Amino acid sequence: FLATGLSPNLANAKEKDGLVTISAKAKTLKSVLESIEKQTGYEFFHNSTVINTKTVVSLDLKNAPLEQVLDTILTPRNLSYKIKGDRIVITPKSKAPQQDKKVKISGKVLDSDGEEIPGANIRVRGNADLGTITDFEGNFTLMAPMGSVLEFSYVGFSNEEMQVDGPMSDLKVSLTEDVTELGEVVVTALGIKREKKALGYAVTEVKSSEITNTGETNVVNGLQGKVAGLSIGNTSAGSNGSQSVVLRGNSSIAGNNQALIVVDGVIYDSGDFGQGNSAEGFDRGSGISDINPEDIESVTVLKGANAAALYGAKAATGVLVITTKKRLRDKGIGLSYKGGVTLNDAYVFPDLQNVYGQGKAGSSKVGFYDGVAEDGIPVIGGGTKDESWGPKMEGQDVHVAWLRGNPIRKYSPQEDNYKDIFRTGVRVDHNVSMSYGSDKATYYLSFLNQESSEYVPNSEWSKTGVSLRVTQDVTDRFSIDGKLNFVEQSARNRMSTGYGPSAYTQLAKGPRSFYDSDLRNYKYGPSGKDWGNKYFADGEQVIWSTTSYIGNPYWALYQNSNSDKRRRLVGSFKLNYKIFESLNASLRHSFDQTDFENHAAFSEGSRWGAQEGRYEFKEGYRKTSTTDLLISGQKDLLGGDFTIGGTAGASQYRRSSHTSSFVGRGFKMSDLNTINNTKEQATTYGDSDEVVNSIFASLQLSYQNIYFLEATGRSDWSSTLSEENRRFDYPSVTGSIVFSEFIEDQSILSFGKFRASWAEVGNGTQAGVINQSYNLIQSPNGEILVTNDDVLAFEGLLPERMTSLEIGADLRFFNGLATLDATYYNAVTKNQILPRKQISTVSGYRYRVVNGGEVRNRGIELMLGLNPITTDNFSWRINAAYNKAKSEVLDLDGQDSFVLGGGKYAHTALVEGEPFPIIRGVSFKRDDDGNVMVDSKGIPMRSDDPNVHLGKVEPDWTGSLTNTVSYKGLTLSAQIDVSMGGNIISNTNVSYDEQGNSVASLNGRQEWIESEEARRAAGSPSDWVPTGGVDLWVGNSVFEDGTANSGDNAYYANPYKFWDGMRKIGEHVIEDASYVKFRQLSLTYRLPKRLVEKTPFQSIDFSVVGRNLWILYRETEHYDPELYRSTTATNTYGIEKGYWPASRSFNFNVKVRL
Amino acid sequence: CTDKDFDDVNRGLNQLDETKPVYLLNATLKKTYVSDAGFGNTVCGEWIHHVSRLNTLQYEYEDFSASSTGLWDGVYLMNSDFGDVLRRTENTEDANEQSVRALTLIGKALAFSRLTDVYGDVPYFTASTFVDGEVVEKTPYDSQEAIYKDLLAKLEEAVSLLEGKAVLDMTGADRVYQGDLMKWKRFANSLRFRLAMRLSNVAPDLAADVISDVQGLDLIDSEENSAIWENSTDIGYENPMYGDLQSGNRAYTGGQLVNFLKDNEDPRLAVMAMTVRDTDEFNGFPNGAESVNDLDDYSYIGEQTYEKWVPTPVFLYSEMCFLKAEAYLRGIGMAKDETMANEWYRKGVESSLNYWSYQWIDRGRVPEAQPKYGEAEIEAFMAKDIATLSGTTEEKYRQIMEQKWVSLFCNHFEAYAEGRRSGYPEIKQRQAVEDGLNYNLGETNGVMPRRVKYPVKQGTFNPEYYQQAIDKTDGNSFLYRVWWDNK
Repeated sequence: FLATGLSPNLANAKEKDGLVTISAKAKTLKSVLESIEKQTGYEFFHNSTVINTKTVVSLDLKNAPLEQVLDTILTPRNLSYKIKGDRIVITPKSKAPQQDKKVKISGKVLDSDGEEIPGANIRVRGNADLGTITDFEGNFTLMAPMGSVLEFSYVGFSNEEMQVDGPMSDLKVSLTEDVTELGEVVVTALGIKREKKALGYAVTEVKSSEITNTGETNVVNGLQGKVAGLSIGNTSAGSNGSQSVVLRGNSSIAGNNQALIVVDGVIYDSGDFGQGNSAEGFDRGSGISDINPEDIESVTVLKGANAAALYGAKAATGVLVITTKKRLRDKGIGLSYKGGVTLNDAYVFPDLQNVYGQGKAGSSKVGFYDGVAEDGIPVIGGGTKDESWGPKMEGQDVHVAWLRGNPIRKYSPQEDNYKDIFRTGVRVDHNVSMSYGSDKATYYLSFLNQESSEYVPNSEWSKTGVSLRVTQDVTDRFSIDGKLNFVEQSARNRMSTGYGPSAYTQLAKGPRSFYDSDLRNYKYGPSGKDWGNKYFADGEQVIWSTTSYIGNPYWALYQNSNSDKRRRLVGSFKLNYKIFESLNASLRHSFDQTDFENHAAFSEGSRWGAQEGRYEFKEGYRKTSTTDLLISGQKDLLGGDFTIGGTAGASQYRRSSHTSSFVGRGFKMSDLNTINNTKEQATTYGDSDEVVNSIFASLQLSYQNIYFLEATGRSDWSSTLSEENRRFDYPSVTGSIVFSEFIEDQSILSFGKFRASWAEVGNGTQAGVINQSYNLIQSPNGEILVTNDDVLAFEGLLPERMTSLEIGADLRFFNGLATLDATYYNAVTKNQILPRKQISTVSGYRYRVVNGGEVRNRGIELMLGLNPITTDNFSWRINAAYNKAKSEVLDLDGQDSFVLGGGKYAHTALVEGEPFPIIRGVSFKRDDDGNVMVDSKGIPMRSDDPNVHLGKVEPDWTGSLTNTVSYKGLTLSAQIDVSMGGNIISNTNVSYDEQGNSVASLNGRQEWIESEEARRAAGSPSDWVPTGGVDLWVGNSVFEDGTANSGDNAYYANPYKFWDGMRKIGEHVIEDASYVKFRQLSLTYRLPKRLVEKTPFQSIDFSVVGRNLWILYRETEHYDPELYRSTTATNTYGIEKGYWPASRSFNFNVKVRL
Repeated sequence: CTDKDFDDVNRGLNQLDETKPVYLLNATLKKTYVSDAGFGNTVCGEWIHHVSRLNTLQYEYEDFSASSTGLWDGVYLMNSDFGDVLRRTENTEDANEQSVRALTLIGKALAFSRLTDVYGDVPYFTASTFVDGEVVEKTPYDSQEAIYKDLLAKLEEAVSLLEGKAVLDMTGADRVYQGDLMKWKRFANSLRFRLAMRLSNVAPDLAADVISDVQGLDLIDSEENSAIWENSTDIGYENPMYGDLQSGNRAYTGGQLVNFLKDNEDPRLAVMAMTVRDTDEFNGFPNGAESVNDLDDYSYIGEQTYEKWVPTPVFLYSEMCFLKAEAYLRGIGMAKDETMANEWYRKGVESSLNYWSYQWIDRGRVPEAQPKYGEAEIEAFMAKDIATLSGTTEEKYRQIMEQKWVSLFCNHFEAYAEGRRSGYPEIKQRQAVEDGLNYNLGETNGVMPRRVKYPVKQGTFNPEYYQQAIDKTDGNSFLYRVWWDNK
């Protein structure tokens, strides 16, 4: 049975004596033959097994005779041909006698960097028995028949072929990393490996080294800027706080927007353990930081529902598929050690003035002392006088009234008093990995230890982890894969986030004249004296204000304490059975359990609700388990033109959690902060449980390796929905075409693929949401108090649906010199479950559970790669990512808006037809001509409408640019991240202004003080018009009666009142969140072979990495605008509420391999 | 593929599917006397110059209808429990359930009278009701008149249900009367008296009918029958005023109250205010002042009003005395009798002095409750002119209402309502500058608001009826007077 030719005869084009001109670079044999057919009019016939569809040919012949051409391309491939009439029949060469003559070939297989590749495959075409693999040093030796063809291959590299013309030794075969994508394999949903070429949706793979080279302890931070459409947010809670990981923007109004993390096919709990975005909260970090980056082999980012449809409900927000290492080397023992030191420094400080010191502006007293003591020396501070509206600091003597004994201090600028608390944080990492590999088994064991001190004193954390992974082929058909990972993390004295008394904002809001040395001595020692003021009593906190929300951060770090600890055990066990060569079944069970405990003790005398002392303790566990059964197979049909593959499976996912929270108030004995020492105690318990059972299947078809089609279907049964709505089904279809196959000349476009996909994903809700129940109220003495829940449940809740359309193209130009991956997506999430839709409380309920709300997310993602220079010793690579996303709230179930978070003057809200979310609030009051109106005192007026549209949170676009230059063993890489557009509600800015601390608050202050002195000298006339003061609105505003605030009518405002007025205008409170950040500069050096050879090691690498080095551009006055996404909750998205300064780090590493 | 136990999985270990009516009643007591009290404290208490807190919208007479809706939300959310109990005990024959119903009716009357006193017309009859199993979300605003009449009827029903009943086991949750139903009956009748008196200017006949009806019945007739909610140091059961201390915006004693007490050398001053730091002086906070030089120059409210254990007065015997004094003085529901009026006035004053001395408190249990003054100071005060009614009827009336104002400290709802109804004490219009201090004039140009604005959220969730209510109240004005406030 002869397969038909590749193209029909062209009768009028037969020129059998014709010469052939052909130029091909890494083109498939098929397409070359096709080209010959077109030129000559001959038709090729061959048996389908004869021509390997992956065989690639490179040749360049001009006007060559047909026979020469055919000899050139077919003979080395062990093929012969016969021309019969119009037809050329290709057959495998019959075993010629000389083929029996074997010769010895030996050499090394190397990668493009000259590194040996262990485990590379060498095959003798047509004779599988003769093949071999390279050893640890990349060496191979084999006997191959004369005239046979050797194929060298290794995963991730393009194949090389070589004809055996005689014995050879010291052969060096270089494999280049696959840039044509022909063989690139990526891990997709459910851990299924697929050829990237065949995928109909965007995936981005990030290799282990790209993550570990960042020196980040957390894998997601290492991904920053490397994937278009992925946005990572960090809190300012030190170097081990929690992360937000969002792909393609927020889509869920009330639910989860965080990407799903899957490790080796198992859903990984990446939730946080308390983000503490309110007063006196602590960010306890999130589960994602439990993964040791050194264990990771690769991370594949599946950005949308399209890629993730097989994972079901939880993957609608995208997935990070993490694959861990099975071994370091293919065979034998592998050992590596990596040690590192990371230094961490605060560097984005607020912009504060150093002219005026402590003083209360209260009743028109800008520039005044707070009195004069009996000795004639002026007094500053005392009571609630915490501002910097006092006189000029000129080194004069003053009594400090907020310190015990009112000591005398030089009244001079304490330029660094808001920086002195910082030190250099130091993190020390040790990582040891060991592996053993054989033909049948792999063993991988790693050990991680990290000890870190934060950039504030007395604050530290540590992490220890052990990973073990074993794979074993028990028989030819049966194999097992088991994994256990244990991690313990603990932290002590995390910095308080938010705006509480011990947060950084309070320190930077402190008077510009306070001495750090006065504050550092945070507690009044024993004196046995009555100081006539309870704030000076023994054991009291030393702080400049009696206001209860202001505290001393040193007190928080030394006198109070907080700690947390968590232990996590993750395990998975997989049995794999090869039923037939092309049909595989696997059964896997995995579990993931984290036990955690959080402590926070506030000593007696703490501020804000903890005056009498308080102890908070929370402990619990979270666990998930998944069991799945998977059957998958693949089969070539129609002589290899068609490939059909499929997967079918069933799974059960279970998640449960339990917490018990304790609050103890007041301590029986002072200075003993323990649970048992608390006076009044209350404990609450919480639990939840959820099960999702699923069946799913996928079908993949490909034709001639050019056309690809995949369809998936999944049905879920979720315990969170009622019986009628429990089951929901959803499909996806994706397809792609490698259109470059149709292009004759591939010298410009060497590879081109177009892809399109459509997917739908359903989602259940949270445990217990559909049940109406009563609440039991805490009661101390056994009273029974029960109340109706304030949420009206809805039993008939339907699952959420996300429908997503995605199209894109993968283009590679000039044989890999330039690559472009472009994607457009449009996802609509409807039927959104709003577990807390607000209703009129008159109904007796505060919220109702409803299905409603629709959000659309659209965007363009581009990833561009350039390799302008590649020589043996030198290379330059440029990677760029660009992402433009636009969300739109389409429907809010009849409500015109949905407030998410924020305060009186500016808040974030969802509004129909607007991005998710917008910022609304009080604007400047303007007249009909748009002029800002000021009141009679020159202070801007507020709009009557408190819901003026002021901005949006979402950036217009984000991007990153990475340049990597390598020279021999030296690699230098620089990454710049950009985010343009979008706003942030900036709460601390306005408090620095109002407090008189910011540089901005200096405007007109001297002139105002002079004017006030003149007014008093003139006997304080009631019709006095200030001669100077804040002039920011002079000349560009109008008074209420319409007269311009300029010239003779100009009114210079009292600086204190001006800034107090400005803080109430949301339009002023928001800032542009754009930034350009120098994310990373890294230098890595691999010791040259000749030096390493003298050591017992195989390789030695050094690296120096600087992270977040500079903000090259920002609009925010006092802080790093990246804080706009500082927690995972949508109700804090875009709101800055107090922060610690952003930090930069320098990471020094050495890695040795044995 | 569905597990049979999916429902159980979803239910959760802590879920409560059923309950008894009495447990719901128990929770409403706590909400009424603990949770709702906060709003009265921060709004009514400031407007009637009992307390003062800087930098709040209510303090500045500015619109806070978007933020402070604690009373509105609290009462309506609790109404789902009231409704639940009332539906389940309708026509019940069970004696205990009848008692539960009676106490629920009393609770509802107290809660809604506070609500309508503060807001005016509010949704009432359709609140927390269901039509065809669907909760009613759009609720019309009912007239205060109709609401008051229904509340009076509810109290009457409660009294009749309590007839012949002695005790109810409330698992210890009754921190007012410990389940003593005879005392509850006295409370219900006294509440009828209070509500009727509120209507005495706008519906004098109705007021007279009710008062003449209840005066012969069991009323709160002694301090030991006073309705007082016992707070404790247990978490969640502290005196609501205590929360102030924790919130970072501590309350000061209002300047007008401090001056009034100072002028009369009233011993209660030492309880209601603290001395200024480092001095023996009392200095009340000038309500409405924009800013002051040092907050520590003013008197915080006294520790015996904010400490955790300090009980919350709900309906004191002194209030009953002042109500009777007013009824005799004005001849409402009883014959005009100025001697009797004076007698009840003096009883009221004395009883209030007694109350604030905390001499009645079990000091074994609350050692912090050491009296700031004793019998001698009370006797001395009773001997002063102020302790006896004198002058014209209007002057006597003023005396009664001003003493009532002092006695209602920490009963902010009632103090604000009675202040508006009677015009005493007189809360002067604020001026922009007074005694060197700048004042917030707010939306009302310095005039004390006559009501609280409807929550703006009603505009989102109940727009049509909200608009009607807005139109009826001169655009949701602070100065619109509720129905009974017609003087």
